[in-house]
Amino acid sequence: MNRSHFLSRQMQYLFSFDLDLGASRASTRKAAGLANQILPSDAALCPADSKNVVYHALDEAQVGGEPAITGQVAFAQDKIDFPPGRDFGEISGRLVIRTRDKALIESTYTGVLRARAFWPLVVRDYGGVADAQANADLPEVETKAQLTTHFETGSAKYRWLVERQCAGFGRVRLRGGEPTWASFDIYSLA
Amino acid sequence: MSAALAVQPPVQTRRTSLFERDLLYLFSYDADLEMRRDELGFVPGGLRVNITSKPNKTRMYHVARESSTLGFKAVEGTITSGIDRALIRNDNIGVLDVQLTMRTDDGALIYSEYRGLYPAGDRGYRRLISRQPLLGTELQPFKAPVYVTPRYQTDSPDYRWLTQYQCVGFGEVTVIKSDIRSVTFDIYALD
Repeated sequence: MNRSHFLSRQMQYLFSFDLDLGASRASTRKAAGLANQILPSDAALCPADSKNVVYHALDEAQVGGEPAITGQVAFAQDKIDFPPGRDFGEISGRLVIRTRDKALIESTYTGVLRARAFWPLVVRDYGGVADAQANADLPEVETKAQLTTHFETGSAKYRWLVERQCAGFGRVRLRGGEPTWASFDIYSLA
Repeated sequence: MSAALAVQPPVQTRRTSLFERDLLYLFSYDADLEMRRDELGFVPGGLRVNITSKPNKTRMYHVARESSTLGFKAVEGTITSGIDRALIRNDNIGVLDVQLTMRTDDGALIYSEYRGLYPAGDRGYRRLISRQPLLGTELQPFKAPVYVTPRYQTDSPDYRWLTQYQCVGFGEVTVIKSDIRSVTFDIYALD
């Protein structure tokens, strides 16, 4: 007999991060005409004073009895696929967090960008071989994004993260199909 | 609203509030995993096991028995094939790597693959592999939470709406005599 009740579902907020994808990012576009246009990026090694921060949005020092995660995004590498004929993008990537106490935590994630009726604006003029100056004149478009992620670290202090399946809710800004900024809230599924 | 134009991007400062978030219920399923279990053996990091579900014995259904989901036809049918290439890690975490195919009652095929985690608990790894003592009994099965992160692929016009979502699943695994016998999930879309 199938269930007639929902299983328990909870999400525990862990931390947030912001990524400035404009300055330190190099990107490659495939030429227009290919069925699946992919936008890989070179790995971005973020400088220590960058805007790529990791923080607790509510300024709490602990999360469920564990130390809150604060610091910087030290490394980010991402890819966006734009499935032809669809109104969403698929994201995947890795980023490395360096906490304030110098621990390194790597996140591997996949997810989606969704903008529904605004999707044509997201991919506007994303024809593959675009004029950089013309692209700069396009307005930024902000989309909702959702991802799932898990973490790896050898730090004993943050080992608890490794045991969590996590999800993220965020916003990504793009100009001419190129992401310029991203921000996410990360939750543990519990 | 899903998107907005930002003509003049604001100076970016650290947020002090959380983004809106929602979990949209999609469907549930109960998988009978007693079809086949192949223990590949110990690999670096843990024990590899392939677990195959009984074909056409797992139903997808709506917990509240509603006929629509998010304004679309509810996902109801059977899982025609499914395999979990699981790694039971020696740090007491089970890692799922699942591929499955679903056939809805109206004949559409939906493919899903996903990763997930289930915490096996303190000494869970040792108990699962050593079987001393056996974990769970027929009368008192061991139950543990499990979390998965599916995406879906289909060309069916009735179910293409599923493909745009990143989903999560909240589930429960049942272990009897140290064997994973079944798993049940509620699947939600992140929004």
